[in-house]
Amino acid sequence: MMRGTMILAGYVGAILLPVLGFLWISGESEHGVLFDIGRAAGIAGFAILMMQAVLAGRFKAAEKPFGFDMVIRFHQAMGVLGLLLLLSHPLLLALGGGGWDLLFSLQVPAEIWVGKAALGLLVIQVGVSLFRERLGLGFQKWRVTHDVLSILLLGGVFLHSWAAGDDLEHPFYRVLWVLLLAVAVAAFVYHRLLRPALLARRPWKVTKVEEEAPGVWAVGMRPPGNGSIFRYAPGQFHFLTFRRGRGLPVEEHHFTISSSPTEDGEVTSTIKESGDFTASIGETRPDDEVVVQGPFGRFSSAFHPGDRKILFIAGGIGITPIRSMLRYMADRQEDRDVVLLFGNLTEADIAFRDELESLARGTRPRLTLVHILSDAGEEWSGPRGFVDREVIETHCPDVSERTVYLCGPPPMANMVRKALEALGVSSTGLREEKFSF
Amino acid sequence: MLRSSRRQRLRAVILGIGSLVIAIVVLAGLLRQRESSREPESHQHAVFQTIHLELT
Repeated sequence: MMRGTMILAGYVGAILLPVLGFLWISGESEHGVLFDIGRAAGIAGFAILMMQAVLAGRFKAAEKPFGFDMVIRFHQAMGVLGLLLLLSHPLLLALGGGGWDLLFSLQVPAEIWVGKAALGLLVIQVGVSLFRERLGLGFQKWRVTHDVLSILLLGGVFLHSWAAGDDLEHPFYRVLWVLLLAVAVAAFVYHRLLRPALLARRPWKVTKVEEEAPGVWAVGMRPPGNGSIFRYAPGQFHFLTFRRGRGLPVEEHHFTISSSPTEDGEVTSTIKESGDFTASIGETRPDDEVVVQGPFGRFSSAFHPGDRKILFIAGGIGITPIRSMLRYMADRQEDRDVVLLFGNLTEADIAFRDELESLARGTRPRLTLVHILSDAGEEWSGPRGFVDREVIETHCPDVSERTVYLCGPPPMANMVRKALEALGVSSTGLREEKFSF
Repeated sequence: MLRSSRRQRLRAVILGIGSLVIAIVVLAGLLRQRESSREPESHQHAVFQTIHLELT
């Protein structure tokens, strides 16, 4: 908590210091108040854009207190704030007495053109990022686009402000601007070039590829030589880049770790064939190389030892972090009272079925396991349909006394959240991590 | 709809920081106006003058 507060304070300081410097370096003001607000907006917008590279850099120190998903969502929100500030910058300058020629004339100095171009790119950058899925842009293509636009943006806004900004003639701003740019460039280069290169020099080896359920594959991995695996908490995830050759795609994707830290020697991710890349996961072979970066995430009962009564709700492949947590609890003989509501289409789709049923026979944790099938055959005698209010009420009547861990596809998660709210579960009683970034 | 406390905290942090940044930006502009006086012409002002001159 303390570290998180300090990180946030440092971030806010990095954004506001340049704006406060604007007061300290008291220049002239020959235009209206809107003009000066516009200048301050440009300064704050610049600082926000530079810090975006740090937020997106997957730095453990910044990720650990909040969780990766929260940092990325914060990065997205700050992108929107930066855009709003930088859009208001020329408008306020014009309204404040700078004149509309600044916006509409073609005969403006080169640095103004650079600023206009950078603003246009920023609109595209934010728009494409917010509406990527609606635009039908795949993650990998979006990522390349985002990187290229980020480089152009960083350069563009720097050149524009350096040449056109009146206040930037002051040594304070000269130093601060170079410092902010250096931080942004260093974060970007480290995140996108240096760290991937370092990780790629020591790829892990795939140790096993087993079909857990139809189209669901457990892929085990081990570091090279006798290297030890990283320390992780059950329920966390990592980024994997499979380098399999044979014409198979080489892309980085994040996957939940389905193994438990109590299972020594290797790390396993259980991956469902669901997209262009994961469709080929079953073609992975032992001894294939995989570049691993992790762990990340806060979705873990290990971070919350006070959660003595737990309701796990999983849909399909959303069982993977929960399997990890249950195995961890069982191996550590944790005395927790756990109900697992596990939704699937058919019996054949149930991953880890034997293991979950074995865990349910144990006493630590005390696990009540309920399978709910939406497309069950006639022979199925268990609950049918979806994990809705009725199912939760029936199989977990004390839901409001439990901490709920929810992991499943978005439509299911939305339905469950509504049901939980109706059943009196509070926001502090719900733990969730969103995996689509 | 029910949101986890993490998401609620994030929302509060985003709204808080967003409001703070905008407030400081506006305040900086207002204070700059009050403090400003008789200083030589700025480069930015010169740029705008150049644009005006070029157009006229």
